[in-house]
Amino acid sequence: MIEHADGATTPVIDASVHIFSKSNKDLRSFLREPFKSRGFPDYEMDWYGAPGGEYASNTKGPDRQYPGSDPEFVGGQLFDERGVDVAILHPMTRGIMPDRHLGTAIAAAHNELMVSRWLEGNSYADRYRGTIRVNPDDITGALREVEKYASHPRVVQIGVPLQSREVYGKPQYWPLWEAAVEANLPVSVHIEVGAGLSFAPTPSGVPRTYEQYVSFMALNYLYHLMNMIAEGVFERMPALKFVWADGAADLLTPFIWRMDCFGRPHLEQTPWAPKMPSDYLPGHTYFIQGAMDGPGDTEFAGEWFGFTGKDDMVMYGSSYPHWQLNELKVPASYTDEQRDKLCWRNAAQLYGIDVGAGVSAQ
Amino acid sequence: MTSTVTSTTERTPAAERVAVRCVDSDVHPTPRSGVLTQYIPEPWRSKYFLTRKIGDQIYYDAPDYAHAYAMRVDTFPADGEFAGSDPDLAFKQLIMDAGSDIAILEPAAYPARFPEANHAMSCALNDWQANHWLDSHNNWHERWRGSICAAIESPEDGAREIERWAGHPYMGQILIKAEPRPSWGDPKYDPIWEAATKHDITVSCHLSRGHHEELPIPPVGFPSYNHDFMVTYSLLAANQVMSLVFDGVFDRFPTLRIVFVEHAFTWILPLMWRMDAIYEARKSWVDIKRKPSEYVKDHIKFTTQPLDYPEDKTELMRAFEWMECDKILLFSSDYPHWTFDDPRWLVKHLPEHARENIMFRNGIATYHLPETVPALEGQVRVF
Repeated sequence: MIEHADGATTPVIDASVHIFSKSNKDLRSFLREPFKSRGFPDYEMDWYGAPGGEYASNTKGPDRQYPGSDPEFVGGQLFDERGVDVAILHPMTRGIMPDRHLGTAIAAAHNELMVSRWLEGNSYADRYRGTIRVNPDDITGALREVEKYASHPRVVQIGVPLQSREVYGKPQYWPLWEAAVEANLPVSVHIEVGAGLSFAPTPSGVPRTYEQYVSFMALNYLYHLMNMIAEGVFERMPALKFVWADGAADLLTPFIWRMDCFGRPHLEQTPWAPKMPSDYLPGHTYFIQGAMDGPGDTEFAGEWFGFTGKDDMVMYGSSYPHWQLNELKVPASYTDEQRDKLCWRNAAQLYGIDVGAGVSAQ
Repeated sequence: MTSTVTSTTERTPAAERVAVRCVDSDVHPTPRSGVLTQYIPEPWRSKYFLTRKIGDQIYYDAPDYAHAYAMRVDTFPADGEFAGSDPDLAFKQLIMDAGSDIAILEPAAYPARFPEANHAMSCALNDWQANHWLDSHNNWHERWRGSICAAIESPEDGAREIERWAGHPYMGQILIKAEPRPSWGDPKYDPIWEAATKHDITVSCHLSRGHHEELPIPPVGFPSYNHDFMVTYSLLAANQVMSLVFDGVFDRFPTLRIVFVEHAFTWILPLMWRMDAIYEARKSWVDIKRKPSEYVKDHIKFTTQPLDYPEDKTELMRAFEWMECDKILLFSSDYPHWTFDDPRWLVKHLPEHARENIMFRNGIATYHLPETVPALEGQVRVF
């Protein structure tokens, strides 16, 4: 629970906490041969590693643990210091591997690490919920991971990288999205860390500054989402839910206006997606709020939050321990209902979390 | 009525002048078949452009392409040539009947596969405009303004071409394509900005499509249809804005003016917030001097077509207000394309206080246009 500036108190679900292995040795202990002896990249990138450091200060533990790698230390920071009630964990993996088997093995190692170390066997385990990482370049391997963990009571979503060589509306991915629906799990899309295969991060190629990179990178969700709408993925799978985990929900408003308005005459080309594009948003599209999002504490922040139904889509997430650590600040112009939706209600509904029960269980 | 017909037929401007009340920032003239060839400099005319027969290059097709070719169907002249190829028909439809007072012409050649050929084509388009649209026969009414086409991927050549045309009485701007890599903050493009600011000419950027990485390649894969393709194409312009700002182009060239043509524009509102938040968080790591939104409002303009609006148009009115639309928008129709916005339709969507700025004042300032033009009796006045 946190107390807001106006004195109101609400629960908090932190819908995006990034977790890591402690070290390569640690990660390799979750891998079997022939993968255990393979080479793969570290979490930190060269070209677009953040100048000044990838992680917020004070996120290393007292024993210089890797940020986001120790469930006891992280739990203390989130639940005891930051007033978080429930945290959704999203393991970061190691870039997109050209060898799909290796990519799947690294994802599976992170899953095993998360489930055994975070969702079980620590004093905060009942406050953590987990994201199963799967490799969309290996549908068979991805389905295996979903099958393995779908019934775990604290696994609440499937995670895939934002980076891809084909947009996520294309039919080769449909079996994975169908499995997510079958397992009743949302699919969360997050920028993958680590070196690996990917096209240049912007449509104009390689940016010179980190700031241009970080500003553009999250916007790539628009290519996926607009393609999924046009390909009729949500028409075909009415229960499919996608979470765009790098924020930038604000850009949805102008782009869906464009999709509806400029786009309307194009609907004759896609009879498998007959509705107005914006009709496919409610109940299918969710966002984690990023630290760069929104117009700030302006008198129109609440009004803007209501455009395109964003107030039913956006969930507070800290991105802990990354440098963009998002502090929960609710603009004064939000209604009480908008505040509650942002802080916990949207996430509670999406992930089926009973916040009251979670809190009283402590 | 009689006097108008006479003056239009005789192609002599009236002595009486009227105030410019509608500047149209995006009009597409097309060469009649076979006319452009004579202007393409050798060796590229023979070595590149005439070496093969080229068919229709369309992929990502607009609705009903097989019948309309992505054009307004009534803009094809009776002689069987392509839409936008007849200056007199364009004059009738766009100036007389729709009420544009001054039209900025933006010829769009298909991009060639290497810089020297694109430069040769730019030279050809410039000479062609001068002789077939901006000449005293075709521009007797003083309504057309041409674009100095410059091959941005060949910056030294482009700068030379700007020098060749600077001072031409009817060249209104410099026109570059949006696609060549990398984005515009790269110092390789400085000669273009240098030449533009030296002569105080605005640089406009129109989308063009292309092949391979200059289609361009979206970082997460290609869209499937013209629908998701064209909607997300605006991200190319959004990225160019971020590059111009974060790479400090406006610090290097404090008088540079950039216009984004036909990239849509409502996205600039949340993008300004986003860039400002990044600047605030990372001030100590960047070299730029001001908030990104201040650079946008002082240096960049966007054309109104295509106007994208929500079902509840009051949301659009609020967005106009929050982005300070009177500072950053220029009216455009996109004649003769299928997405044509009639100025009389467009103006009604603008907040009342912003109408004069967006419909003509910003255009006059951006392109250094006269405030009056010779009167045409019977011409529709937009507002």
